[in-house]
Amino acid sequence: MSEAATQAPPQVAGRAPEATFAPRSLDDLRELVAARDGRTLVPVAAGTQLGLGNAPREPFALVDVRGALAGEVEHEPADLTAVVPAGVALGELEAQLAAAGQRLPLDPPHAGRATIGGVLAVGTGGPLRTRHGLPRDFVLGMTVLRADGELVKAGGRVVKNVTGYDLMRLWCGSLGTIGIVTSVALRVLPRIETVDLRFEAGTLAEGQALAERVLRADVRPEYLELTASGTGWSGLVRFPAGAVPLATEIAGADLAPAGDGDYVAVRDLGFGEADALTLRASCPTSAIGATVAAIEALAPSRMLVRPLARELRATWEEGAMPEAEAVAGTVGRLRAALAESGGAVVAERLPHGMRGALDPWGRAANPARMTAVKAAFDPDGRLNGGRFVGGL
Amino acid sequence: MTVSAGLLQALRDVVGKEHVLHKPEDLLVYELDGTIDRSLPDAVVFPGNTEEVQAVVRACNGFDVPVTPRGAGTGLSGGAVPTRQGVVLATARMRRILDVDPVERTATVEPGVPNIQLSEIAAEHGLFYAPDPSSQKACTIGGNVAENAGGPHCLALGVTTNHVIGMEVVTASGEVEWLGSHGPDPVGYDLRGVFIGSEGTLGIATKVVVRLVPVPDTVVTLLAIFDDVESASETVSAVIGAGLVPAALEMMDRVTLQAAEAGLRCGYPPDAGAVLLIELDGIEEVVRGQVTQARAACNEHGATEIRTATEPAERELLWKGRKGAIGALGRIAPNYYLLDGVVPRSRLVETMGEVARISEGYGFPVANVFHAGDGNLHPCLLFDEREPGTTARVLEAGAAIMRVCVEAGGALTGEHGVGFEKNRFMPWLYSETDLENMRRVRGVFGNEGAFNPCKVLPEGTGCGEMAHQQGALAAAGPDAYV
Ligand SMILES: Cc1cc2nc3c(=O)[nH]c(=O)nc-3n(C[C@H](O)[C@H](O)[C@H](O)COP(=O)(O)OP(=O)(O)OC[C@H]3O[C@@H](n4cnc5c(N)ncnc54)[C@H](O)[C@@H]3O)c2cc1C
Repeated sequence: MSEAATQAPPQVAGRAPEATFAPRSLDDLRELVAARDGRTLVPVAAGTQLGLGNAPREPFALVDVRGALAGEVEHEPADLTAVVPAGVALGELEAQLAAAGQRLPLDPPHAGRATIGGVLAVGTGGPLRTRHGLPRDFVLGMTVLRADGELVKAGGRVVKNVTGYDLMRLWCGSLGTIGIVTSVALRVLPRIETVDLRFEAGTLAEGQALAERVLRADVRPEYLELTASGTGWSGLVRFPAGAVPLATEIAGADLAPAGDGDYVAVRDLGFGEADALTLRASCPTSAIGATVAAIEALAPSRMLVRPLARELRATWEEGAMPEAEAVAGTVGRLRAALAESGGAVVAERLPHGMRGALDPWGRAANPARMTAVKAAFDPDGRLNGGRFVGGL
Repeated sequence: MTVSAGLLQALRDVVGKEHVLHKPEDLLVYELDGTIDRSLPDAVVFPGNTEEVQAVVRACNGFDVPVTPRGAGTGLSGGAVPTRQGVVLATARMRRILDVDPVERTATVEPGVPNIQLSEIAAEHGLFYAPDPSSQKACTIGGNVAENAGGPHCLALGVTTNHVIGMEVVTASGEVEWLGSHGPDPVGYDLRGVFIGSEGTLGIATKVVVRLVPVPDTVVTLLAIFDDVESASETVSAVIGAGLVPAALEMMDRVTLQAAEAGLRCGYPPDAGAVLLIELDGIEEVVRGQVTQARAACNEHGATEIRTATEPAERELLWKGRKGAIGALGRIAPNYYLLDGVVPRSRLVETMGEVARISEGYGFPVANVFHAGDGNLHPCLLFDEREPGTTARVLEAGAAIMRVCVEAGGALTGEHGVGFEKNRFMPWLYSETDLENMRRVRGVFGNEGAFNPCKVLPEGTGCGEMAHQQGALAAAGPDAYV
């Protein structure tokens, strides 16, 4: 297999690869991984999250896995399952499911282009996580290419299964550091009729209270997003069509039809071309207000709060960057404040100049156990070495 | 006897003399769970807190003696059976509710808290704990974490792993640490996720943080009666095909119905071949439409009668036969072997046919109670252990049924776990490499082989001996259902 001749290979967390490979088959990919040429391998598909994490350990090569992990989706509508090659783009999968009246409610940034393998490796959700949870919650089984070139599987393809250890959850969110996902069995859902609405929420606290009322009334919003809008907060919400009358009454706000681009704008917030620094925080409900206030002091270009998922995201455009020390200071204080409750602050995009000042991940609660996981499945640090939490 | 006087003394020093059992007559209750397998421990220890759990694990590790964690002992795959004797570490004294937080909608509890208690304490805040194993009055949250337990209402809301966000554990190697956390999304590998469902082989959960969800606004239960399982199964497909994801979708077959009718008088017609329970919840406006759709599906596929209930007491009546089904089977035969297998939903009917053929071949009546919405079967083989050789044959028939599930593209267990019951079937689903890969997880938690040995993965010999099943119902309480 030859090195692919791409012009300017993308950088990974600001660092340039030494080589780029594009294996055409799974066998080629296995061979490449098993070769142990002394390089760190960074698998890449759509490349929507190449800024995430630390820079890889050098020397490293990019491996475009889309050719090797392409293939047909096996969708079983009657079973509400689909077996999907990891290189399939989420948008493509959605289209196929939609044709049978079904859906996979996962919508991370750039959900159209992002591949299912990449989405699972990164593990974060989008607006729909409010109702449906994280990518890992849809995985029934997986096949993974381990760092030594062995293909290993766990789980199965039925919707309820506790046969053997749940390695799928270990693989999801591992940023490809303990194996490359090659194929995945997913649980899918029937499509439902929904309506997207927007409203003026007033203050953040008022927006949070509205979200709480809606949740308690059992109207089951698919998502509920609050975005900072100059003076106050705006809301964007998706209700099941049948719930709209009651939801409107409970919300106690003027609900207007959402605009065409509204949903994609919140989904992709922080992952636009101009977005240079993006922070995502997970925090308990009681800490959302203080976390937002601390971040607001750094004057982000845009900010979004997902109150029912207890998640928020803020982004700074190139021209609007705060001082590195100020960011590092705020993030450090937030991490310390959230440590007890298990919250986290992750820099999903980080300008090169800030890397020295700020660890993109923060510290895991149990670093020794994390290291043991990496050592058990990729002792030489071949896959994405260096990029993950604690430099794993 | 693997427990020496030295270890016994060490255990007493940790938990106090009164919390260590070692006389054979005191140990009998701890030789089994709800399965057929049994093995007598040398000692049972009841630690009162995390520090004591840690000290017990360290002492046993120091003496090289196996430790087997135990909750309520309602498990149905032999997980709490001390296959290589040694020490059973029971969580019965660790039953404190540590925190209920209505703002974060979480509760933090000790592992010995019975599942049902979570919903009871959450009720005053309008919340409940979703996973509801049928044994919920007895089984512990620690046991639920270990088995990744499900229940009749897990179709829409998910199983234990979807509702436990973190736990403090004492690892097999004797270290105390948190996996997951009190809040959402901690960074790093999802160690919480791999611990849940590890069947007590990686460590002992000593504190568990669960998510609580709002009690549904409106709940409607439908009970539909059919002439046969085929029509009821087609209805299940039609309901799913109509885009509904009911809160529960449960089925019973003719043998079960007859036993339930004889024991509980649910008013099932004598010629009923199958009963389907469909539960829908949400806001009234939405549920109303869904009920119409579900009724239409039932009628279209030949339901001979449909009963509907909205009030809790009436709904409870519709659930009565389902909940009492397993207990009622006792009227037909002195013993039963309850299986747990999964097949793709679309293969339910043909798999049921195979199950019937196998049990007939072996001469065992079979009753089927199952979570139809997930394709999770619970065939229940009825037998009499007093007939010589019967136990061995019933286990054989069980294995044949498991094989059928696997061949239909299914799995060995949907909620009861692999344990000691099915670990030798694992190679039907996974290659040597897959199994070796799974085994690495034990190393991550420092399990060198002596922590809850002979579970989940296939092992060599020396793992206890078979005996008869007992105690499942006794442990789970008389009104438990599966
Ligand atoms: C009548 C009946 C109905 C049932 N219905 C259901 C059902 O609907 N759904 C379902 O999923 N299951 C069901 N079960 C099975 C059983 O109740 C569950 O598996 C339950 O989770 C076991 O809990 P337990 O406390 O009894 O655990 P035990 O049986 O005591 O132990 C089970 C496993 O958990 C481990 N363990 C116990 N405590 C801990 C701890 N703190 N930390 C780590 N490991 C631990 C043990 O080592 C063992 O491997 C049923 C059982 C019966 C008898």
